[in-house]
Amino acid sequence: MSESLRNDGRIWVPKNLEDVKSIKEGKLKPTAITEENRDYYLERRYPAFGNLVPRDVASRAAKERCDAGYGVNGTGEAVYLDFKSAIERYGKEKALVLGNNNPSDSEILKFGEEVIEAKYGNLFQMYEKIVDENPYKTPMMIYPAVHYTMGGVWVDYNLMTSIPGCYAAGEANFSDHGANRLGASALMQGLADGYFVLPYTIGDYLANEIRTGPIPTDTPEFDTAEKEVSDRLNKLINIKGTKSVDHFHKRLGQVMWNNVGMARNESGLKEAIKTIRGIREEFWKDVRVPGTANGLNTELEKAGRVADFLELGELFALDALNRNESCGGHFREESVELDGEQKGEAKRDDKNFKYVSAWEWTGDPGNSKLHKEELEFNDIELKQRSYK
Amino acid sequence: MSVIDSKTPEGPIKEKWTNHKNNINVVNPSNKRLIDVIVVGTGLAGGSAAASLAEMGYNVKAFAYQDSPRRAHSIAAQGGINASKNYQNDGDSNYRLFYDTVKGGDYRSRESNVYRLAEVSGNIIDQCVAQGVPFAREYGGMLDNRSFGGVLVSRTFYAKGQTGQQLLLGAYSAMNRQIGKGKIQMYNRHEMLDVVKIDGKARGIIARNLVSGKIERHSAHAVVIASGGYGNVFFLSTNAMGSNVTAAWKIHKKGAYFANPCYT
Repeated sequence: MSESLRNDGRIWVPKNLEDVKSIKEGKLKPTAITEENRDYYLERRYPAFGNLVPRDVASRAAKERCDAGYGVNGTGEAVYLDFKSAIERYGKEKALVLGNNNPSDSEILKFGEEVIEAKYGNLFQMYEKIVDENPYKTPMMIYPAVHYTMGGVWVDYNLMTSIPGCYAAGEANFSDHGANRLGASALMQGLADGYFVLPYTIGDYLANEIRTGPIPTDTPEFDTAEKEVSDRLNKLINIKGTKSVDHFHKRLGQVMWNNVGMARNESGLKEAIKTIRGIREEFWKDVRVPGTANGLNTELEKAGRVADFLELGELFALDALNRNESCGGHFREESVELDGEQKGEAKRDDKNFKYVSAWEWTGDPGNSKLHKEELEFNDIELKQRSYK
Repeated sequence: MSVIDSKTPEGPIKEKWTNHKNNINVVNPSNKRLIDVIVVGTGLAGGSAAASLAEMGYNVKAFAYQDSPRRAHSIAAQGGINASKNYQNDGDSNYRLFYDTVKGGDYRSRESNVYRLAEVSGNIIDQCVAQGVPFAREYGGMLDNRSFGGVLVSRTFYAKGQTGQQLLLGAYSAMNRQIGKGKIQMYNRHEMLDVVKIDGKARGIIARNLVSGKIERHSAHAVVIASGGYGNVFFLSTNAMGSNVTAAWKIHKKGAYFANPCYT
């Protein structure tokens, strides 16, 4: 569900494992668990930011609780997002606004739910449609998912990639969010690039193109590129193997989730690189794309995209292996704070990794060439991130 | 391994963007008509870029694999959009938004870019309000804010739980205006399958018409890729099932470096 819900929702799991067990067996409802038996773990671990810690921190904390056995649904991968106290708080406020100084409990509930509905109504409706539980009455069950990718095409200050005349904007580029994006910053960056940055910076390049004239498409460069594209499409069609495109995509996804997901380590990443390579080789021998290339063919579209993901996935794991530090959404199990106030939190290594990894294609994702852009911090002091 | 240059302008961080705009080359209006720009992807970034470039006078060709730009995945963004307008009078500023973003990104982003982002954040809200985006308002009519993770102020503008959709409709309307004027040629249901380089420069793309299967050639003086992220490498993600890395990956294979793929 949307992170905006963390504004008013409180996140918790039961304090006692017996309660977790009873919930899983359907013998206990979350609403029946008393306050003292709930663990509001974000508020406990991060008193200053509470439920509003950034998403990488919140995701890892949810994973930590679930890995420890406190997950509250059948899969063991869910924590509660609870609006009860927000409903009460808003309900009392609303009653006062309406001149009702002694509202009954049911009135408070009614007013509070109205306020929540005005703020988040469509999200609540979405949840109810999917889970068939009323989130106004019982806490939602949530778990982190992949939502946004901070990495992307390398660009300079003008948003130009390392190909002259080729630009990248929005989520496709890498430039603004570092290793973790804050909520509500994706829309900001997409529109900043599109409305206010690129329209200016592109002029710097195009000013040298005013005498170029129209560019013909009947040149050898276009011939070659077009031939490459059609050859590849025909190749995909003609493999005529036994497995669907989704089969390979799912296998790739599984490796990524297990080995290159919220927690990563050296041996897991090395294994992922090997496995993804294997899946890719198998894909090019055994994928089945029905139909032809001469018309609408959604399986062919998917096949082309999954073929690209199978290359990107390997580079992804290689990059994660190279970055032997924890930062933002990239958490290396080898790099955590061992003691002190920040015990268990991600540990950055500014001495060795204060750079952007920019990978150059060499024909094989596993042998991509690493270039570094050193990051300079002149206006912000480089220090351990703390949301305590 | 080599060290690469971000071409960040010199000077104090607060003046970099202003100075840069004052010093870069500018194309005069009558020459903009002579220049074609291809924009691949028409979500918030691509849609707003295509609309702005066309408004300025460039000839734009926009490509989307969807039926319409209105189906871009930006539409699914629920929460909101940040801007350092300090409407809540809680001490917000460009610097604070800049600081929060760099800190939130765990000190792995480029300072100059993030500061610029904070600087233009307020303009985005003004632009969108002018377009008619129905941001949530308080009873008195002022724009409302909510708070989000990783910050201690309230700076998120929102439209219920459908902010992305409303912003996309704004960008799409701006685009449509230019499509109507003939300044944007819209290619729906076209997928870019390669970039064409001539003498080292990006000069066009090869696209496939997804309905007819026909392979097409399109040329331009510059190519903008705004095709979104690659979360679907995980198969399961909150991205739409069609979201893909293909356009970005094709330019990577033709020489564009791919940065920090492990940051998800």
